[in-house]
Amino acid sequence: MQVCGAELFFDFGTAQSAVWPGCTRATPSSQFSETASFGWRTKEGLRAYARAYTNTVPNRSRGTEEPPPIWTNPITEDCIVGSTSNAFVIKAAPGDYEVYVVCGASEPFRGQFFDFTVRVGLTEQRVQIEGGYQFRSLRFKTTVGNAPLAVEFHPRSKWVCSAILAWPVAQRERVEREFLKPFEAATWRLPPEEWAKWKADPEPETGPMPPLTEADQRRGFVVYSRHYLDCVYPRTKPRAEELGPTLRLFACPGEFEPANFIVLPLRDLAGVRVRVTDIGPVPAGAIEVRKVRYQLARPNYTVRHRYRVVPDILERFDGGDLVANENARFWLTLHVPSNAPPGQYTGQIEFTSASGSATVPIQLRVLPIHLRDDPAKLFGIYYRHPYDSMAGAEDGVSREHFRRRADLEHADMAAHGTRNVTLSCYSPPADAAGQFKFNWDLLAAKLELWRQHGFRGPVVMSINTDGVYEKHVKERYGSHLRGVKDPPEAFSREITAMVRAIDAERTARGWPEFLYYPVDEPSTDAASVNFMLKVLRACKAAGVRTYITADPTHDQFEPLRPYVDVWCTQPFAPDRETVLADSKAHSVEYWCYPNHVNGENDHTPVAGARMTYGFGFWRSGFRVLIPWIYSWTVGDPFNYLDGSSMDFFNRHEPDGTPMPVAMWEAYREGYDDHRYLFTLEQLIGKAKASPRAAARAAATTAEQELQQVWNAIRVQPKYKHDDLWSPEEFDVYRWLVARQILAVQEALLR
Amino acid sequence: MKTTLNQSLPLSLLLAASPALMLFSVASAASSASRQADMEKLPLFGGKAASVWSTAESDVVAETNRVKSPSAAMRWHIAVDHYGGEAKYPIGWPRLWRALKGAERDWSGYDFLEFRVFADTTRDKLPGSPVTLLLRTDAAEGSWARALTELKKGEWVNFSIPIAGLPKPDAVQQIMFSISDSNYRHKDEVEFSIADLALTRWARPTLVEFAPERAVLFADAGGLPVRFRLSGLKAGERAEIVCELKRAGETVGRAVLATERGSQRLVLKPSARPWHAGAYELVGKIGDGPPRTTSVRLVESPWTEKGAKP
Repeated sequence: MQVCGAELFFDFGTAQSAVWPGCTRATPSSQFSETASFGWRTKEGLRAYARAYTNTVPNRSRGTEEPPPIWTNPITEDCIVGSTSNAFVIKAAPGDYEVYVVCGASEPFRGQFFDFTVRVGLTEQRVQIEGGYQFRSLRFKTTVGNAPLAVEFHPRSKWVCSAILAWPVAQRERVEREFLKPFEAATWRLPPEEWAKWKADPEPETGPMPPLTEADQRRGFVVYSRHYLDCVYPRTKPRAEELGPTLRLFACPGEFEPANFIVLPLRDLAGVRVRVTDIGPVPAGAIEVRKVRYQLARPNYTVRHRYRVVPDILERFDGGDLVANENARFWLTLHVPSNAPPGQYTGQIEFTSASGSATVPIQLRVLPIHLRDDPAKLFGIYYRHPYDSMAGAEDGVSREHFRRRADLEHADMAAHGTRNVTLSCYSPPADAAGQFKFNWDLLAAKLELWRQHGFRGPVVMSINTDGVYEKHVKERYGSHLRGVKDPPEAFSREITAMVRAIDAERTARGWPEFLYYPVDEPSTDAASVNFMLKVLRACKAAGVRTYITADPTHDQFEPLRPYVDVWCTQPFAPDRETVLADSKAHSVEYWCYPNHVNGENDHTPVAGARMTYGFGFWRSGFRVLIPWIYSWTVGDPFNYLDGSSMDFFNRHEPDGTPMPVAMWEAYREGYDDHRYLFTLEQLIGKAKASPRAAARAAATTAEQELQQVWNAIRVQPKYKHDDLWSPEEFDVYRWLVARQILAVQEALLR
Repeated sequence: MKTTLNQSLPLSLLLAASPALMLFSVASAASSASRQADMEKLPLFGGKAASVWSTAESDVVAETNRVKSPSAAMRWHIAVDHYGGEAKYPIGWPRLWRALKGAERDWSGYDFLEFRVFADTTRDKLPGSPVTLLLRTDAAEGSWARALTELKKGEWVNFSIPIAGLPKPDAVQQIMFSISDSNYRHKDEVEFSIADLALTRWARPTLVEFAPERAVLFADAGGLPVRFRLSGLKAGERAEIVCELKRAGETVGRAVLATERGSQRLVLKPSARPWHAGAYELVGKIGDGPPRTTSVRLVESPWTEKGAKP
């Protein structure tokens, strides 16, 4: 494509990498001078990278051909990276210009956090990009006089740039049409030839639009609310009874509680702001306002060529514009101060736009309840630890970024009730002297962070089984032990030695217990089970407990039973009675990794997530919930269509601040349900032992009510979408429990 | 291996031969005996024709021992072999399927897919997921699957799958039963007798799946949403449903809706006075037919509870 003003369009990269049609190639050697019309102020410290992804790539572990991590185009396949201040200088005719700067890299850059400022004239913008596979665009306006146009880069760590384009302002529309639109679609969605293969699934059916008032028509929007466990899609229509809502919440001191309202613009709305007042003891500053971001998501983990639009990320909202006929759902999270006095309180949300405003009243009842955690249960999650990236970082800014992100994520997990993450302890296989080389400092740092945030053990610890296997069998096994062979005895001896070495260090340092996790999700085929038998036996020989992600209801795993201490299964299966009986008879534990409510295959089972985490978990007999995973990203973290599999669960802002998804908030609500239930169970126990007759009577009533809640649970191995309580019922059942807590508390004091 | 068993009647023939379809009267979703009488049936397994059911890694024959009429049942036998599967499914994926053609593909006029299954095996008991029913449709997601986990060794189990839950019931291309060899041990043997496979529907206007959206709700919620599905009506026909919320015989909320077949929703509102906490009955009926009744509990809300301060 030939675009106007081509002499001012520069595609950065190597001397060989592709150049976007109509752009001019610029490399680290392109130095500005009196005779050159463009180039770098200095060549010092510049380096070009090029990695094109235009075809599928082989996955040896799975034995398949897969999409690459991202699909590149001539601009995004290459870049120039600098570590010192520099500027790209262009001789341009005097006049007013718009400048477009593309920053990012197709290299993985796993340990790199790019943090730099781009300045054009008097305007500057900060850019923060963690690693590669993602791109940012910046726009500037500037006036060129006698001096050439300079785009300056000032790094805190390093800077990265893929292209710089400038055009006279008069050519804006044409550039938008001929370059920006196709470039941005290819970069942040998919290249046109790949995108042509993808088909959209329709949104779930919605009812008709209810009659609108004249006031709604005049101000150009409708306000309604629907329970946060119910997904709202871009074209969902409100129901008549949802219009003009009052948001009602009840919560305990210290608790977080979600609320939401939805604005359906009847035309484009400009200058939108959302302001929340204090709500009694909850100051406005303790109420987060986020907007639900729709994402194009695959219908399952590795499915290709089909997508649907799903409500997903809860983005911080500081104001902006809304598009006509697309629901804008505003998600509020109230944090009730831990010293909030009980009572009924009111407040309001003020929604304003250029064409009108609306007020949404809020009622909040703060309950005099101190929610308790069940010490016998554990809420954990699989985790890709940022400290691993920190260990590979080359500069202090990057190291600090990864350290800070890990700290923020641990705090976020703790605030959601999650106080356990999986960790790894890797060493190459033993050397000739039988010695391992662990990075104890790295593991110690992770466990120190664990301690600081009040996390609890045991720690699921993965080890380098594959590396030891490769040493002895001279090849690696595939995903789920695909193609695994019978290893020699020396393999088992080395696994035992490795586990002994880790556990000796653990004991010496006073770390929590480790559960040794040698292989993830072994298959049921005979070779896989035989291998697991050997590797688990080898772990047990070191005198430790083992952990396996496998379903014990599969007969094939029967031989493993003597060597498994923790079975971790995706569904709540086996059933409660089997779990309790087996736990009692054999001292095994049952943990659950409910991936069906994590986003691996569906971003929308929000109600299923709350059921899994609260009432369903309470009913299951399982000890731990540990879903995979806190955040999963392949390629661009905000493009769920690129890469071999879909991205899912929490995201983070450029500076590392966590961005929750709706299901993560539902986890917390389920966790809170569980705390209400446990608190009542504890109080019933105390009241039953009380000398006061009123307390014992209150305990009896509470027990009956609790039994009714128990009976109302429609037990399922996987709570996802079907046969769940309605969203509103979750709150009523929680209230039934809360009301009994209040009654028993009062009876105990009377 | 491909085994020929029989062929079911084309849908067009069945429709032509069913004058009951033209009737319009009232029925209830009552006892199973009267239910059978009120249902129309389209067999998907007629026991007469050839080249209908296909198998892979397994065999199928007409069932002659466990049912009175062999034409209504087939026996599917699998010898689990972890090493002899197809290249594409190395552990093994034994399956039994039947392609649907023409008018047979449109299940949208029916309410249920019904069948019963008897399972037997050389094992002590069946695995947790013994067999899966899989329906391939024109829907974007391609297929719908349900593991028949209710099966037990040596017992007949009845299944009634609501058609309304299928992703695209007007374009069902294939019905399949399959097992995953990995759920079994090598050399296990298992067989399933599948009988009375048929599409069924209410012959007269019938209220099905009648339930409140919330079995418990706050008394001051302002209304009770009720969901139901109306069956036994032809396209374009309408029936009137009356829905009432009652406490101790007194009606405290009432709604009337004249509507067509399919899934419906209405919201019951307080008639005159506000609702109070307590046990209620939700009643729905069509015309003067027998009512469908279910219980609802209203709970005093946290925002109106007496004694709550300030």
